[in-house]
Amino acid sequence: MAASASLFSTAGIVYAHHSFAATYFEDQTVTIEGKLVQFLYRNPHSFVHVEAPDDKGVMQTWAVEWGAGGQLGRDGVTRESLKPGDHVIITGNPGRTPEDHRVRMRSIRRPVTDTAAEFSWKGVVQ
Amino acid sequence: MADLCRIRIGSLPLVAVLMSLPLFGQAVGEFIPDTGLDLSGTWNPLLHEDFPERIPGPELVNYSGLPITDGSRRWGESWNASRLTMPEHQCQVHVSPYIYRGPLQLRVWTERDPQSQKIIAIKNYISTYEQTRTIWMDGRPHPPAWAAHTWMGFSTGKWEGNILTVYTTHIKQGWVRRDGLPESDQATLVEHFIRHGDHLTHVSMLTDPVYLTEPLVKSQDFLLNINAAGNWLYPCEEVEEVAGRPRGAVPNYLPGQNPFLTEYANMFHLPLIAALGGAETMYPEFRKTIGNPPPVPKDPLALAEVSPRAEKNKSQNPNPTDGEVHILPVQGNIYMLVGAGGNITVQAGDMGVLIVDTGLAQTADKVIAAIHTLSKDKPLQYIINTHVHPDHTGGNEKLRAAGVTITGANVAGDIADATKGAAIIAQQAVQDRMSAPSGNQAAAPADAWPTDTFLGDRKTLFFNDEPVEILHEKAAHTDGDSIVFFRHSDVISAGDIFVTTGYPFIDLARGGSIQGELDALNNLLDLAISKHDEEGGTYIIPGHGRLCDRWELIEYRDMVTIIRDRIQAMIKKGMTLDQVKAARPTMDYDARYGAEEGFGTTGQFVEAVYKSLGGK
Repeated sequence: MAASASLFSTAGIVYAHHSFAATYFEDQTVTIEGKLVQFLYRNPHSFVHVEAPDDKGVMQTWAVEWGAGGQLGRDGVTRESLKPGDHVIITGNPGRTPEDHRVRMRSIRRPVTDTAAEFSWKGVVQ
Repeated sequence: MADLCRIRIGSLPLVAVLMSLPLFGQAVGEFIPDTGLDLSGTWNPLLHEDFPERIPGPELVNYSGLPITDGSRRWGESWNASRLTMPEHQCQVHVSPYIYRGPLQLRVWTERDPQSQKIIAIKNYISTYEQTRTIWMDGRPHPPAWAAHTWMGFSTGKWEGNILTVYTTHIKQGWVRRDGLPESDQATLVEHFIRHGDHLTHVSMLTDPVYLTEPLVKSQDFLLNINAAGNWLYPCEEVEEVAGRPRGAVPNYLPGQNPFLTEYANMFHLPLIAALGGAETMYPEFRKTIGNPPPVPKDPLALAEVSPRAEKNKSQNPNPTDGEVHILPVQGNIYMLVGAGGNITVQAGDMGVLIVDTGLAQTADKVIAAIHTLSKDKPLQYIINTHVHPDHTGGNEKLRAAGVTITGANVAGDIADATKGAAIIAQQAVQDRMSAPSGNQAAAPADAWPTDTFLGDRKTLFFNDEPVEILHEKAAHTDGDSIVFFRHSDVISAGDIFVTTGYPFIDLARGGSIQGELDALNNLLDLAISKHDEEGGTYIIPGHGRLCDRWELIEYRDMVTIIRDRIQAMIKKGMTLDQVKAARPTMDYDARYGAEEGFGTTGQFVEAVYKSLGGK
């Protein structure tokens, strides 16, 4: 059963403790596909860490910055939405420091499998 | 630039009037007259002023309209946004001169004396970073220069007609703009809160002798919100964002290596000199002076870097100037004595007194008198030396004689000099450098030598209901450095590994090294835990300068690391010591920590780092 509908964040603006313009290339996107190894559902921003190959095929641990717990909660994302080991596909803005392997989340999708329902989210992390 | 010019020009007439108002004429201790005006209520910010700078945030190397120094520009150009991924930087609060630009809510209320109903303080709660701010209205003085700083600083206020005018000192280092432009801990702030019915205008004038060439004036507006619901919380919990980063690494761009120097200027088709800021970019005349500027290079690395030049130290002396030894309560059982050369830590309780370091020889009597006011006639039993230098051990002889070593039963008979005074504890290297083999001239008299030394990396005591750890740091400031951790009071005495008065003195002749210094700073960071958003919690008494918490240690560690990185890169390029000195690898920090003459000059620091890294 596909449990989660695709969600779009239109809730109130959330203030970043840092400048997104200074942290990410806002005019570029990158897609990574791999295994979720950690989901930090927190403030001021949540993070998912994903093991996925870079553009050279070398496996990296990516830090994907997501919305605040409050923003995600309004979007129907809970602490239970994602689990370590989930296969995920993430699109977002790449960080300005390549060796950090950071991404600002724009969308995340976990395809349906025999054991997991489909999950997807897309929106704007502010 | 356009955004900033608009604000500045729009604000100028108002600012001119406000700055002409008299400030703070009250006598200390005198309550501020109550005008009856009330700012109490919940206020929501109007975000239209500089909206893009607030959300999503300022672009890199957009310094337009800011009266920054060359040192500030260098600081900003070396700033890498990746630094904010470090756990210790994730919860950096926006300091009081910056926080009112945040988008969340402001609550204002008044605290009155229950008997007289006089106003004691006007309080602000700013939900951005959950900051509570107190504006004292009872005429109390500002703390001494050696007191700790906070994100919001120490504020006193007075009514000037219907305007609340506030003066703030003791602010932590923070942002002038959060794209890497620093505000130093020497900054002071004058604010005016002006209420017109349901509208509140806040005007601030920031003065920073270290990083601004003239005051930075800003305004922001709030609207009364009679519905006080909403989100009042802004929890921040640090996490490991970037996996596998080496311990102690601080992301930064070496001079000339910032790849984003021209991005903002190119994006908005601005002359680069406008994007790089400076006081001249605040004023409309700037438009005329730039004439036909050269095109902005597409390759930012083709640019010449900021011209290295000397910046004079503009920071305030954090030491007493009256020749007296002053006592500053820290927390728990711990007090800091200042005015005796190096700072002295005093732990006082029912069992007696333990001190860390003894200051200069000539101030020993005043130190003894200060300790007596804290000891309640209990004996001084332990002296711990953090290192060998005479501004920390000079009082050993007199202080030891003023104390006792308490032994019991027949043990006293086994220790011949037990009645001579307090025990002096230090790492063995300290005694080695103060003493000499029999028949040779020692550096210090025998009664000043440590009596209880340890050879390893750790010695512990339990005194006054408190575990005390003495941790040896190898080859840091010297080869005999110890830090002293009072685990119950949650205070660390850092010795000269950490000072707020200058660059670290790497004493190569006595076994110091830059890598050992950095290892020690990182070890200190590991011990310290903040109470809330890098403020409070563990307090750190530096070898010299004001009382600190973890935040000051973070910024200091970052600075020493960045300077190390620069000098290391210069050595790799084959630069001589003179060439390295001429390149001013410390330029962005010199107005805060530099010294051109006297003990511990900038040149000596650069030379010590250069040689310690193997430079020839």
